Amino acid sequence: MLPLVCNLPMICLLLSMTVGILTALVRNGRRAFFLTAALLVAVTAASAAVLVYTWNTGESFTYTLGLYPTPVGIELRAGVLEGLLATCFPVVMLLSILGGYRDICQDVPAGKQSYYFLMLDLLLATLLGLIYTNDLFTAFVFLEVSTIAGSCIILSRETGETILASIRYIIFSTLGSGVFLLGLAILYQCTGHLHMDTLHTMIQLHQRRGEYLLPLMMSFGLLLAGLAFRSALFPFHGWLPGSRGSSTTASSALLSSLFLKGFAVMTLKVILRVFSLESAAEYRITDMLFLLGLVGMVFGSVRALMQKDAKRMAAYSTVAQMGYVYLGIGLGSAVGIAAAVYHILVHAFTKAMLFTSIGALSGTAHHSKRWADLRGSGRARPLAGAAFTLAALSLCGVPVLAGFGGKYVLSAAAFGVPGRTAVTLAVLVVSALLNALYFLPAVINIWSPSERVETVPRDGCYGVSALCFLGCNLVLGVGFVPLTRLIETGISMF
Amino acid sequence: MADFSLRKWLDGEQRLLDGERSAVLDTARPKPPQAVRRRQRHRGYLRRWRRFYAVLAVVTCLMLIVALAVTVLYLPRYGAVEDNPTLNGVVEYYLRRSAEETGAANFVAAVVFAYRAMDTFGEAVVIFAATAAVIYLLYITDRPVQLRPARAPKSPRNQILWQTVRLLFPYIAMYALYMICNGHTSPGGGFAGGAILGGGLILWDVALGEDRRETILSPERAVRAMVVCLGLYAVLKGVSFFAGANGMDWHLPTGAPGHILSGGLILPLNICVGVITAGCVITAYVLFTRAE
Repeated sequence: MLPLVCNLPMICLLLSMTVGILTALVRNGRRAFFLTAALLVAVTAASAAVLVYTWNTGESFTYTLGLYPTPVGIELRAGVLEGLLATCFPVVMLLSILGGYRDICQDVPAGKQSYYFLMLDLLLATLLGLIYTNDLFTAFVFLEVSTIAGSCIILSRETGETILASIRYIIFSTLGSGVFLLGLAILYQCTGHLHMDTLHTMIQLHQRRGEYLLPLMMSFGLLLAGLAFRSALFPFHGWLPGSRGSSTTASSALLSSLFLKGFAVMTLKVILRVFSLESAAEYRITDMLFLLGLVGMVFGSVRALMQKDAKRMAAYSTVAQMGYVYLGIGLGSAVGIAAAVYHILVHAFTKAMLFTSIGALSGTAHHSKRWADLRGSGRARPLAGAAFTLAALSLCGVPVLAGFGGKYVLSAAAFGVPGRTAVTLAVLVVSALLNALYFLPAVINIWSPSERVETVPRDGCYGVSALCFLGCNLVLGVGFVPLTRLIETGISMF
Repeated sequence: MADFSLRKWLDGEQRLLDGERSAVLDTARPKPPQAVRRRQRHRGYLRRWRRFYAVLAVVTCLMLIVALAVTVLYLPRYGAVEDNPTLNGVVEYYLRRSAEETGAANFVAAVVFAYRAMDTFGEAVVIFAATAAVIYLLYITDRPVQLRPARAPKSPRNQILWQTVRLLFPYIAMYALYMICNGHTSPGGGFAGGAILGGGLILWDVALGEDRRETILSPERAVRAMVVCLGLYAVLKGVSFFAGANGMDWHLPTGAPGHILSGGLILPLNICVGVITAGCVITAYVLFTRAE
C-alpha cells in the first residue's frame, strides 16, 4: 500500500480530463468557470502536497498505472521538480483566467463559453500529463490533445485573423507532432522500449557497444525538433505572434506563459531522462540549442521593437524569452538547466501578468491593442497600468522583480561553463537593453496624458489577479536562491 | 518637431521623421498615402520571399528524405527477433503472457486496454476533443443549425436509396456490434467497430438528407452518449489504476481466453470506445454537411 499522496498525480490527471469532459454538459458559462476554477484550486493543493512529500522524503517516486509494472505497463513519475511545476502552472492558469474573465465574457459568445472552459481543462490535463509522464508515447498522446485544445483556445474570438492564426498553428503543431513521432519510431526500432528509464539504459548500452549510433542521433534530433516546433524556439516561431495577437486576453496569456512551457519541460525530459547531457553534448545538440537560444533572444527582441500592437509585441517578446530558456538548456550543465527551469517559472508568471494587464488596459480603448490608442490608458486604470509597468520592468531585469532573478541565475550559471560565459553575458546585456528599448516607450505611453480615454467600471476579478501576480513576481525576484536550490534538488532526482 | 517624433516613438512608429520630411519637400507632387506605399512594398517583399521559400522548402525536404533514408539503412532488420533478444523483450512478454494475464485472446486488445490503458484513454479524449472542436466551431454560432431527430424520411423521393439503407443498416450495425463486443477475442475492437457503426449512421443520415433539417442523431445526444462513455472509462480505469498501484487484488475475473465473457475490463472499455468513435464520426458528418 502506497502512501495516499503518491496517488495524487494520477488523480489530478484523470480529474482534469474528467472535469473537462463533464463541462460539455454544462450550458452556463459562469458555472463552467467555477468548475474550472475549483479544479485548478484542487490540482494546486494536490500538487503542493506532492511537492512537500517528495521534498521531505528526498526522493522521487513512480506510480504504476494499473496492474502491470514497467516496461510492459506505463507509469507516472513525480519528484520535487514535477511537484513544483505542477503547483505553479495551475496557479498561473487560474490567475490568467481570473484576470481575463471579463474579456472572456465579452469575446467568447455565451453559448461557447462552457466549451471554451472545456478546452482549458484539457490544456491543464496536457500540462500535467507532460509533467508527470514517464513514457514517451504517453507524452505523444498529450501532444495530440494539446493540438486540438490549443486551436480552439486560439479561436476563442472568431475573426478572420484568429482563423488564419489557428490554421497556421494546426499546421505547425501537426508538423511538430509528426516529427516527434518519427523520432519516437526510430528510437523504438533500435531499443524496443518506450519507458524512459529503460530507454535510458538501452541507449547507454548501445553507446557503449557503439551500435545504432546514427539512428540514435537522428531520433534525438527529431524528438527535439518536434518539441522545438511546439515550444516556438526561434526558427520555428512563425505561428506564435498571430495566434497571440488576436485571441482573447486569457487565451494569449495562457498560450504564451504555459502552453509553450509544457513542451520545454518535455525537452528537458528527453535530454536528461531518455538520453543524457553527455550524449547531448557529444551530438552537438546543446551547442545547437545554445546558438538558437542566443539568436532567438536577439531576433525576438528586434522584431518586438518593430511592432505597433501591444499584444504582438508581447508575443515577440515571448520568442525572446523562450530563447533564454533554451540558452539555459544549451549551457549543458545541471546549473544551466536549473536556470532554464527557473526562467520557465519567471516567464510564466510575468508574461501572464503582462498579457492580462494589456487586456485590462485595452478595455479603455475599445479593445484596440495599438499603442496609439492605448495612450493614457494607465491613468484610467491605475492598477492595470501599474501591473503592466512592473511586468515590463521585470522583463527588463530590474532588481526585486522576477525577471532579475531569472537573468541573475542564468548569468551565474554561465560562469560555470568556461567557453560560453562571455557570449552569454554579452547577449544577456544586449537583450536586456533591447527589452528596455521597447518596453520603455510603452510604459511612458500608457502614463502620458490623453483626452480619448474612457472610464471603465471596476473589475474586481482583475484586481485580485493583478495583486496575486505581483506577489508571485516579488517572491520569484527575491527568493531565487532557495528556489533554485529546490529546482536543483529536483533535477538531481530526475 | 522634437515633441512630435517623441509621440511617434511612443506610438511604436518606425519612421520617426519620414512623414514630415516628405510633407515638407514634396508638396508639389502628391504621393500616395504612406499606408498604401507600405502595403505595396510589403507585397513585393512577400513575392520575393515566396520564391525563396519554395526553394528552401524543397531543399529542406530533400535533405530530410536523404537523412531518413540513410538512417533506415542502419536500423535493425525488420522482424529480426533472433539477432537481439533484448530488443524484443516487451513484445515477447506480450505474446507469451498477455492471454494468461488479461484473459484476452487478442494481443492488440490486451496492449491497448490493459497494459497501456492510459494512452488509450488519452486517444479517446482526443476523439472527444475533436468532436467538441467541431461543435464549438460549427454548431454553437449566432445562427445555429436547427436539427430535428428523425427515424425515416416522411415522403422518400429517392426510394432506391432509402430501401437499400433499410436493408443494409441492420447488417452494418450488427457487424459493428460484433466487432466491438468481440474485440477482445478476435481482430477488431472499439475504434474499428465504432468507425463502422458511424459509417452506417452516416448512410442512414444520407437517406434522410432530403430534408436538411432532419438528422438521425443530433449533436447534443451524441455528446451526451460520449460523455457518459468517457466518464465510465475514467471511473473504471481510475479504480483499476488505484487498485493496481496500491497492490490491491481488485479486478474482474479474466475468464478463459477466447470466451466472450473474458478479458476483465476490456469488453466494457471496448463498448465505451466504440460509442465514442461512432459519435465522433456521425457528429462530424452531420455538422460538416449541415452548417453554413
